[in-house]
Parts: sequence; structure tokens; C-alpha cells
Amino acid sequence: MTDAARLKEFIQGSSRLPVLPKVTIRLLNALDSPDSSSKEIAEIIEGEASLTAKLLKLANSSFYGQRGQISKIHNAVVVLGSKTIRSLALTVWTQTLRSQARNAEEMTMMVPLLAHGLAAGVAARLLAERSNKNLAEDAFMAGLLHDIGRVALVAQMGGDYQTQVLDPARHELLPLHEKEAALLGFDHRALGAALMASWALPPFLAEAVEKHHDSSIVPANQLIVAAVALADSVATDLGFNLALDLPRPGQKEIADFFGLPDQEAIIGFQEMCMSRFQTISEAMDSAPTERSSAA
Amino acid sequence: MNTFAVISDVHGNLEALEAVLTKIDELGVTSIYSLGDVVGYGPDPEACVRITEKRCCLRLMGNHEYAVVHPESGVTFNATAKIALDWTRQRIQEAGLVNLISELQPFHQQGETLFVHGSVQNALYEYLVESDRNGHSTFDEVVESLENDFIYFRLCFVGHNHKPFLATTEGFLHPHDGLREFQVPQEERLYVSVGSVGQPRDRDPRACFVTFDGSKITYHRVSYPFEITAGKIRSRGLPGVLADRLALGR
Repeated sequence: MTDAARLKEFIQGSSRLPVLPKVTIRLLNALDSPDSSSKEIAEIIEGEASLTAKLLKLANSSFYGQRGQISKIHNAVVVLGSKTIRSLALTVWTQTLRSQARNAEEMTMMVPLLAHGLAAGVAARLLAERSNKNLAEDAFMAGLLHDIGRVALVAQMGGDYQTQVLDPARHELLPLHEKEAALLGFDHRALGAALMASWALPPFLAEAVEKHHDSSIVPANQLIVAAVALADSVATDLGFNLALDLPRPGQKEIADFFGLPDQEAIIGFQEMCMSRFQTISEAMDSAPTERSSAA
Repeated sequence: MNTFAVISDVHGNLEALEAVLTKIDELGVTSIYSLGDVVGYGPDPEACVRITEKRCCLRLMGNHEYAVVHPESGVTFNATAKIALDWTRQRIQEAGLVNLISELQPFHQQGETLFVHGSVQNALYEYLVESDRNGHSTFDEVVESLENDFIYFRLCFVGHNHKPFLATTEGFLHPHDGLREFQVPQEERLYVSVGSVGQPRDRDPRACFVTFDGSKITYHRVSYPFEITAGKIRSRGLPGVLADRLALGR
């Protein structure tokens, strides 16, 4: 069987591929942007029935007193405020993720993997902003989803991913995608790109998913791919990934392109990323930068 | 029930504390509870200890008071906090104020209300947070805590995390300038995270405290001249980051 056929067979035989919480992603982005109006936020929420219902329920909860029945999502947005809405969206998202993992072992892989996506999204957006502000949101999406193929592999393979990919890769000090390919005939990039196509997402996302480990990225021509490649590394450096200690290629050329010529500049950028990650996750005191601090 | 005010995490910020106390006086509230961490980070630990000792009817031990009295516990502090801690300890010792903080308790129960610096599980150190280090919501864990831990009390006022919000079985509720009052239904169990007077970390530099009248929690935000506090932090040789964060509210 060819590798392409094995990939096709894997997708067809997969019953546990991840659900894409598009609304949550758009909402977190909108809440994070100072330019968003409550009307825009309401419009995003209205696109998703269960979030709408939860938001209205919260706005009508007894904590908000006798304000009369709130039935319009826009009014609920005004009453609750952006921090409460962000928090609710995160709760809904987290509950969705947890319901996907079948056991604790899968959770221990899924949690850092999803945090890796979020951190890479934040970093890719900040990188893109340095070169072309118009591409910042696209870069965020691309960063967020660049490892969605690996999320799918973990969701589908469960504990087998740990024993057949993760553990041997750590033992042999091989990059995970090489181990995936050796085992399955395809790796998370090919699977992710195929999923992107099946979800009918814009082609630039599939390109970023497919090429983020390439060694010959030309940043000037492939801004989003380059931003994601570097963001992938930054997110891992910040401690968000499945395996933190496996070999990774150097990215001097891409870092130079984004105006990060030396270690000091990169550390400064990482700190900014962590700060934005905290904004979007509202995780401030429990996030890694603060975990050893004393409030 | 008489209305009381709850303050927390003053952290040696005299300007913020004075502004908050002025506001509390204007509100006509005379009972003030302090949830700890009156010292640490900020430039005026002695004055803040003296004033809270005089004005507050309840003072709890925070992890910073504990570390001033028990130096060995300071190992959990990050580098910046450690520098400020050692400086604070010296100031408190030289001013002869150790006795005013050494015997404080980290929690206090009054009727159906628990006051604690950190959390129900760990009164001194644990944070009540909305999301874990992976950015995932802690809502399910909080609901579990509200259902399992809230046995002899139903309201729990906490400090330590420097963020104002309510953690309820309905969700995490944040005050904002358009809405800062929350009704507390009878029988409802909830955490009231009161925010910080002297070092807010919710991206709002204004000092924060709450009042409770028995049925309604009100969050208050008070502007104060943080540039004066920041100037003192620098002139006393404390880490500059502690000055910078006051203007950012983080």
C-alpha cells in the first residue's frame, strides 16, 4: 500500500478525529482585540447555539439580580463583560476537550498538545504583525492548527501514540514526525493537511500545516509558514508541547527575518508571547511564568 | 448584617491602602477584614502593618507575612519576590513589628462565611484560579470544590491571586465598570476573590476591594497615585519590575 493510501485509510477508519471549535477561537480572538465591539462579539456568539444558550443562562442567573429577562445576546454581552465571556468560552472549550479524551493517559498527551497550539497561535500572530499586520489573524489560525494532525493521531491512537511514537522517539532522540512516518507511512503534517482540506478551510492553513517543518522556507515568500515554523519552536521553548527535549532544526534565518537577531531579542519575544498567552487564557498566576512566584 | 469591607494583598503599597481606606470611610463602612499579604513587594511595609493593625477587625496571615516570620519558607518565592522579601523582613525587624504579624492565622470562620488568604484546600499558598497552566478552564474543579469542600460555610472570601471575580456554580463572574454588584442568593455557595489593593493583576491598575451587606457583593476600584509608589520602589533599590507592573495592573 502506498503512503497516500495508508493516510486515506487512516482518515476513513478514524472515528475520533477532533472537533474544531471555530466559534471559540474566533471569540477568544475578538475578546482579545481592543477593536472589537460588543455587537461584533454578540454576532460571533450567535453563530453557535450551545454557547448562546449558556451565555444567556449566565446573564439571567440570580447573581445579576432582578434585571428583567435578558433574551438578546447583545444585552447579555454588555451585562457579563468581556472577561466573564472569555472565561465561559474557555470553560465550554475545556469541557469539550476533556470529553474527547477517553482516559487519563490520553489527557496527559492532549492537554500539552492543545496548549502548544494556542501558544503557537499567539506567537505566530505576534511574528506576523512584525512584518504584515494584515496577515496577523491568519497566522494565529495557522499557528493554532499547525499540529492538528498530531491531535488527531493522539485522539485516534490513544495510548498507542505514547508507546509506539512518543516513548521510542524520546529513547532514540528522533523528531516525532520521523517516528510517526516510520510507523504509519505518513506523519502529523500530512494528516493535518488532509483534515484541513476535508474541512474546506482556506488553502494557506493546509500549507502551514504541511510545511512547518521544512528546512527551505523562504520567509519573504511564505510569511505564514515561516511564522508558524518559528512559533512552533517558541511555544516549545515556553514549555508547551508534548515532548520538549527532542532535536529541532535551527531557525536563524527565519528569526533574522522577523527581527530577532540574537538570543536576547528572542527571550524578549518569548516573554511577550507568554504575556499574550496569559491574556488569551486568563491564566496569569497559574501560568508557567508565575508558577514559582509568590503572590 | 452590618456591611463589611474585605481587603487583601496590600503588599506594602501605602498610597493604594490610604486611597482604599478613604473610600471605605466615605461608604460609612467600619468593619474591615484583611486577608493577608499586607507586606511584600512594596516600599512601605511598616506603615501598612501599623495602619491595618489599627483599622482592621480581622487580619489574616498571608504567605508573605509567613515568609517574613519564617525565612526558610521563602524558598518557594521567585527571584524578584525573594529580594523584596529579604528587604521587607529587615524593615519589619528594625521597626520592631514582627510581633504584629507573627501570630496571625491564615483563615477565619464567622457563621457561614470563611475568610482565607489562599484557598479552601491550602489556606496560605494555593491560588483560586480560573484556568490552569495550560490555559484550560478550572470550572469543573471549582464546582467540585464548591460541592465537596463548602460544608460548614457557604461563602469563602479569598485573596492571594490578585484578581477580582466570583467563582460560582454558574461560572466565573467578573465585575467591570458597567456592572460591579452581584446578588448572592440564599443558600448559594461561592468563592469571592476580592482582588488586590496594592498590586492588582487583572490589567486594571486601580486598587480593588469588596463590600458585602449580607445579600450583595460590591466590587470597588479606586485610583491612586501609583507613580509615587513606583518611585519609592525604585529609590529603595527594590527590583524595577515591581514598580513597572503597578501602572500596568499586572
